[in-house]
Amino acid sequence: MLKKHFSMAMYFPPGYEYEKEKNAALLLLGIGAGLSLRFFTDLFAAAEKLYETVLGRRVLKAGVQAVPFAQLVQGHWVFYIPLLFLLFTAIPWRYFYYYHATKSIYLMRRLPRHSILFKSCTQGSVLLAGTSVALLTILYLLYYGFYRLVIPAECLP
Amino acid sequence: MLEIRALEKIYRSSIGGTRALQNVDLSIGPGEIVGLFGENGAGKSTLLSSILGFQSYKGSILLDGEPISRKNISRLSFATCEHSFFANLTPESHREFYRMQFGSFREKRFEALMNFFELPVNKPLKSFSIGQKNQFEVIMALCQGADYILMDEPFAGNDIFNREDFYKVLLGILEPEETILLSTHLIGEVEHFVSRAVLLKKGQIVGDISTLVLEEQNRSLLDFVKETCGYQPNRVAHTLTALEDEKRNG
Repeated sequence: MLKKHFSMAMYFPPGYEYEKEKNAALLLLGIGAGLSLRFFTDLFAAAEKLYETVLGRRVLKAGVQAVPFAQLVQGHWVFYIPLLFLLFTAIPWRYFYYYHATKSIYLMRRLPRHSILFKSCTQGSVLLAGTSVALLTILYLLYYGFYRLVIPAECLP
Repeated sequence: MLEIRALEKIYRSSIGGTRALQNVDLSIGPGEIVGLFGENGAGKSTLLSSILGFQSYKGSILLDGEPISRKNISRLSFATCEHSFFANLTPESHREFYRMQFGSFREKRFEALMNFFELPVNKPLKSFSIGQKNQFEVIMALCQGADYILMDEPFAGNDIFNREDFYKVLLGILEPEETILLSTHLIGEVEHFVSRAVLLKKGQIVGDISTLVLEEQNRSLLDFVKETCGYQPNRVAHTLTALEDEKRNG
């Protein structure tokens, strides 16, 4: 159970109920991603500013440059602060787990590989943070794709 | 050989310090079954946790001439009445965890003891009774594959029949080089199980005797403990008489 197959349990203290923590992290990630949808409103507003109407026709303004992509997504990261906070506060929480119900800390401190104790408290956060970064990278690459689609090439900064 | 030299432990606090152990010298050879006795607060648990490196101390603790470190820590195992297993896991998961962490885990002994005590293998330990939890705690200490097995009040909460069974099984399964250091208050019960008794009082060793010598002297372990600790059998009678006098005069 502990090593045969991939299991998230491997990254947490043995017997630790990591599901709640995982669900909370995914919820915060989801909220962050949901709020990031405002990117589309900002993107279309930025695109709109590139055009003007001349003789009833919608044309690109001469020499105009679009707002850079980085500027459009700026401020989105603030929504992931609660997620970071959760991942960091979970580390001491997992350590205190070894004092909860039994003193399994006695077993952990007797292990020949001392790093197991440290890893069991930190690996889960690293895994969740890594997963979050990977998901966010995919999301923002997708957003960048939309940016390139919507903004005409000659207006790219 | 486990050698403890000039061991001293002081618990510091804002109002000063409490000397939990002072000048403790003790050598325990392979194959010995040592009973560690003493009143509450005598320093038994502090001694065990110092050996295991759970706290800082002054003095030296050597295992075959080497300080106890990550290199040789697996030669020590520990069973405590506070329990050191993972309550959410099953015995089967513990077996796998120990197998991964301790190279010399005793598979056959684990199976035999689990069967003997009829403990369920696939139920989380949190659903076990106190007695079963104690049994499992001791089973894991015995199966880790350690040469020195330290036990701190491991049978607190087990009934007498259960404890009797354990002593018999222990004597039956222990190999000649396996050493036990057992801290307990159940002096009368372990008399025929231990080969040596070490008595702690106020952090100091005040008695260290083999049970063979006690037998030769025709003394029981309990008598030895009472005499060495300065137990006053008349204390109760004195108090009761004083109370009677007070009642009569009052």
